[in-house]
Amino acid sequence: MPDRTSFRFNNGPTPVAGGTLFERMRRTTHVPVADNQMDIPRFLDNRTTDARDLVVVEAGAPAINDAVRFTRGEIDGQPAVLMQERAEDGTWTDSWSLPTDSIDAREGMIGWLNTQSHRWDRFARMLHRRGPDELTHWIFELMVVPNTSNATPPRFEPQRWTTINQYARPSNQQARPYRMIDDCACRPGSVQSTRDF
Amino acid sequence: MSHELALAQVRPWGSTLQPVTVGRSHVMLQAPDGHLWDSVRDAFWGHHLNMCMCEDQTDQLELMRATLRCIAEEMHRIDPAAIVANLFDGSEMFFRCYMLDLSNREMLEHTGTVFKHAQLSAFGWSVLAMLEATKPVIIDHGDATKQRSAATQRGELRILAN
Repeated sequence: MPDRTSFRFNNGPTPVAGGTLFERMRRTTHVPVADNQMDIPRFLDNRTTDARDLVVVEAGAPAINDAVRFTRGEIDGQPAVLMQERAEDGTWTDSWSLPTDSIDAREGMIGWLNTQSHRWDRFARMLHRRGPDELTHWIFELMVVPNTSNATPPRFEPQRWTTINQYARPSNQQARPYRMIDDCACRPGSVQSTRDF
Repeated sequence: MSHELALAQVRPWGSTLQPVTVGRSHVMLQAPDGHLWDSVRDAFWGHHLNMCMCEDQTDQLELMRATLRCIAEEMHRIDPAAIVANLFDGSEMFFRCYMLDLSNREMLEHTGTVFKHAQLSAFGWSVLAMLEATKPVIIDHGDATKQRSAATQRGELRILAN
């Protein structure tokens, strides 16, 4: 019979509903924090603006930009990202496009562009003032990646170490300056099967 | 306008200045050092920036407001030539010096990067919120300072026009 703690933390033989690590963490975020000092002026001499003064406005709906949008497309059979602008009559016309190296890279770019909806009208303004090349430069500056092959979404790859460099994972075609260490337990030459692991 | 939501999330500079009633009904704002100021713009200019109060500095604060707003709209990346032409009399040196001054006063963050990647700091957002909230409506066009302020406001509209 497990003790109370292990039972509650789902370590015992009998699983408990809501006892996984994820659900316990989710419950703790819902515990209201009582700040009894909020109503009274705490610092009478502190007149500077600090993080306590921030007024957070919760936007109920995401920002809707009905003049500019980004969609998936194809150019010469190659996956591409398209920027479309809405004309006065409501029709969408392609105004900018960027071919990507793979569908994976296109999905990564679309996912990033969807987080930048506050910049969509600025992207259109940049396109009209400076041209498509400068818009492409700006988008890659904002994404902080050199080209679309590095724009893939991050993912969990169980056969690799998960590192901060997973946006630019090494390709098998290139010669690597460093050695890839095989850490798979199922192969005899890997580090996990050595005696010292 | 896309920066208005961001403006709504910061408390404007000077919101904690204490109003003090002088005499029967004259209300002034008291800075933390005890000095009294006529307006929050005056307190910002004279107390925080420690600038001279010898003349009407409406045009200078309007230039600061227009520049901060253009940076908030990322116009310094999209079209810096338009900012130079419409706000800084075509002088790139003046524009660069002004960007350096804004970052020196911690309204911009561009540590280790070039100017085109500069962003407003949290303090810069707070100052922009105050300056937008107290933006003057120019009626008197006979005064030279008011003329310059109106020209700055017109130039800002020209920069942000599509």
